[in-house]
Parts: sequence; C-alpha cells; structure tokens
Amino acid sequence: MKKNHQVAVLVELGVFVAMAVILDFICGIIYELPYGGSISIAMLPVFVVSYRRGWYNGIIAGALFGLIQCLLKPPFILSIPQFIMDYFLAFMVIGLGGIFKNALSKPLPFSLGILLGSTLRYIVASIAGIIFWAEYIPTEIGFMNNLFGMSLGESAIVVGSLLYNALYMLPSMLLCVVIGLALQNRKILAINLTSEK
Amino acid sequence: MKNVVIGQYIPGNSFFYHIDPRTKIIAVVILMVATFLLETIWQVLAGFGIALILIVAGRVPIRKIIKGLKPLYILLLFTLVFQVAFNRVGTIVLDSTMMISPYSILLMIVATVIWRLLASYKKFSLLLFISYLIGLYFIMKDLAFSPIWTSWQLTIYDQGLIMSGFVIIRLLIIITLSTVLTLTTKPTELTQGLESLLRPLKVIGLNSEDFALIISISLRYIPTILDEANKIMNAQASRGADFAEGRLKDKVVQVISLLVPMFIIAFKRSEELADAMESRDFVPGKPRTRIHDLKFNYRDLVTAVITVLCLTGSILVKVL
Repeated sequence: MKKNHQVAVLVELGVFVAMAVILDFICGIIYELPYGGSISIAMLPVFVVSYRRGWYNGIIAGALFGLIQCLLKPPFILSIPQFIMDYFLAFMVIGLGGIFKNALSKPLPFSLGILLGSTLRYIVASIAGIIFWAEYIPTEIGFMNNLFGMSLGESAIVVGSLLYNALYMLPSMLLCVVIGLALQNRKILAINLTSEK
Repeated sequence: MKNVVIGQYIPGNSFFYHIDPRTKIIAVVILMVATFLLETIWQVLAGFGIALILIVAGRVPIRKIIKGLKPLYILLLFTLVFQVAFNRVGTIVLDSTMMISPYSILLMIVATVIWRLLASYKKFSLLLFISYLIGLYFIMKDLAFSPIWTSWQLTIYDQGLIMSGFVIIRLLIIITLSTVLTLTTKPTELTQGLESLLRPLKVIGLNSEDFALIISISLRYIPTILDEANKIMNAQASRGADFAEGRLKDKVVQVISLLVPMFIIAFKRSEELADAMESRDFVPGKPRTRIHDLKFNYRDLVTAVITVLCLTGSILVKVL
C-alpha cells in the first residue's frame, strides 16, 4: 500500500501533542511551581516528534502544545509579549532540538538535541520572566546601584528569573535525557518509521 | 487521577455562548490591548467595572473565575509587598517603627503556628494570610518590650499602594477576559475559530487547516491516552507499584515502565488513525466540509460594537 506520508506526519503530531499534554498533567500531580513551569517530562514527546519528523514539524508540535495549554488551562497572561514568549516561543524552540542527525539511534545526538532545545527554552522563559517582572516591580529602588550597573530591582529581576527558571528547567531536562535514553535503548522511538520510507 | 476534567468549558446558554468564536477571540485580544493602554487607577477601575457588568450580564459563574485566579495569589502578594516596601513616591500614609525583641519573636512564632494550624480552612486562606500579616505588623509595632535588639522604619507611601492596586486590578481584568473566553467556548469551537482566523498565514506557507487538524486530533486523543495511562498505572499498582512513594531512582524507573507502553500505544494509535484517514481518501490541503459552519449573527455585531467602544475609550483617555 502506498502511504501518504503527509497524513502520517499530521496524525503523529496530533497524538504526540496529546502525549505531551498528558505527561504534563501526570507530572503536574506530583509537583508544580506556583508561576507555571513544573518539573515535567512534557518536552519529551515534542523532542521525539522533532527527531522523527524533522525540526520543522517539531516547531509546529511545540507551538500547538503551547496553544492547547492555553485552551485547557486558564493561561497566564501578564503582558502580551510575555504571553507570546511563554506560550509559543518557549515551546517552539524545543523543536529546534531536531536538527541533530541520527538522534533516534545514537545516545549522543539525542542528548545534545534535548540540551539544545531545553537551553533555548530556558533562555526564552527567562527573558519572558524578566519582561513581565519588570512591569510589576518598581525598578528604581533607590539604594544600591552597583551590581552589573543595574539597580537592585533590575538585578533582582534578572537573577530571580534566571534562578526560578533553572529551578524547573534543569531537572526537567535531566529527566527527559534519562527517560528518553531509556526509551531509545528499548528501541521504541523509531517504531513505524522504517515501513514508510 | 480519576474524574479528571481537562478543559475549562462549562455548558450554558447565555449571551456569550452564542457568539461566533472568531468574534470572541478577536474581541478578547482587542480588549486586552485596550486594558494595557490604561494608565491610571481610576481608568482600570472603570475597566474592571465594565468587565464585572459583562460577567453578570453573561451569567458566567464568578466562582470559576476566582478559582482561575488562585495561582496568581503569590504574584499579587509579591507585587504588593514590593510596591509597598520600595516605592518612595507620593505622600506618606503610614510611618511606624518596627521593633524586634525576644518577646516579639516569641509572639511571631506563636502567630505563625496559629496561622499554619488554621491553614486547613482552605476557603479563607487568603483572609487568614492577610490577618497573619496584620498580626505580625502589630506584634512588631506595639508588643515588643525591652530588651529591644534592633528596630527599623516601615514607611508606606500612597503611590506604592496606588501602583499595586493598579497592577492587581489590571491583572484581574486580563484573567477575567481569558477565563470568560475559555469558560464559554468549547475547545473545538476555539480551534475552528483559530483556523479561520489564521487562514491568511497561508501566504507565508503555514497551513492553518493542518494546525486545526492536529489540534482536533490531539484534543480527541487526550482522554483516550489518559485512559490508557490510567489502566497501565492501575495494572502496575495491582502488582505493588506506587507512583507517589519511593526514592527518586525508583520513581524514574516507574515512570519509564509507564512510558514504554504509553509510547507504543501512541504510535499504534497514530498509525491506525492515519490508515483510517487514508482509506477514506483524506488528502491534506483539500477543501473539506463541516457539520457546524460558523455564522455571524446580531450578537456578533453587538460584541463588535462594545469592543470597538472600549478600545476607542481607552485610546481616547490615553491621548487626552
């Protein structure tokens, strides 16, 4: 039977976005941070999709994962740029992890892809954090004006955002790598792929 | 894990439920922009008043909206504390010397213990917390007898209070708007609306129909796969596995043993679905028909007029 490749990709994206939502939900039962962002392996399905179907489809999967989260939970909108970064950009950059070749069969590119995607997401999430806190905290706190040339308020925002996001991104990334490698080891990430080519 | 309700939608029959999802999405976006244009506390108060009128008129359950605000408590509190403590603009509202002595530390510990003990009454948690803070204030201000170790000056300026009020009320409006949208619109309708709104993106090579299809598939499969996950977890629990306990390593091993079958099921499901769609001659990008077509009616006109009025209003108060 001649397979229509496009349909398979679309369906797989849909099912794996669903997987991401479910994993996020299951991990959310265990622990969730107050400002969104929890230690979760929800990124793993997005990485798997982008390894299997290319970074382009990975980016789409990430964007739609963000969109579905807005539809299902009341989204966390504090300002418009923060909303776009937190819900779309932060998840879209995960898909860029798929630029590594052979990530489904070899452990090194697999881990590197997750590292790249998570780092980019960490950067975007931190910038979003800085943007929104900058709107809600007075930055001209008069005293002390010496840390990296920023005022105390500004440096508190930058450091706080970097720390807060590292608090969940680092464990999430490690969990994704450990669990992802275990799944790769059992050779279940490449199911269905060979029959289509 | 059981009785999981994913999604915000609650069935109803008021005005908001019968607006075209496209109108609703655009209206919410425009109203958010209008809210971010407001600059003084009186303006956001007026905006909040309009939002409240809309909620009451649309018979949206207010309790649900308050529930949506829960994760924001800490943010609101932080804002309040930062603004009150560090904003040095305007006139002084309160200026008192706070003293710390062994006696007051003892009282503060007692107050904290009482607060934590009462924390089981979840309904009043916010009220309790506020009274806890007020209690701390009076303990430090009035109840510190000698020997006083150290003391500091708590000064609150009116601009600090006004700014935090402004920020909090603006946040309330934004959350109310987005909650009303998700409460009164089914996820499928939202998807359909977004598909229709994003159609112009075709120019830059993005096909909104594909996106809508992916979202529909995903929404359709969330309950199914969640059900499967539940079955697997129950099966493992019947063999003695426990997801909530154990050391980190045990937990990771358990998550892996949950994920292996879940991934296999997901791959299987997606292959079956792709086969089913192909055997029914589904071709991506070809025009399709729907059961429910989106139609504009007079309600959409009313919504559009109100939205445009709000936007013009906030532009006017910004310019004038």
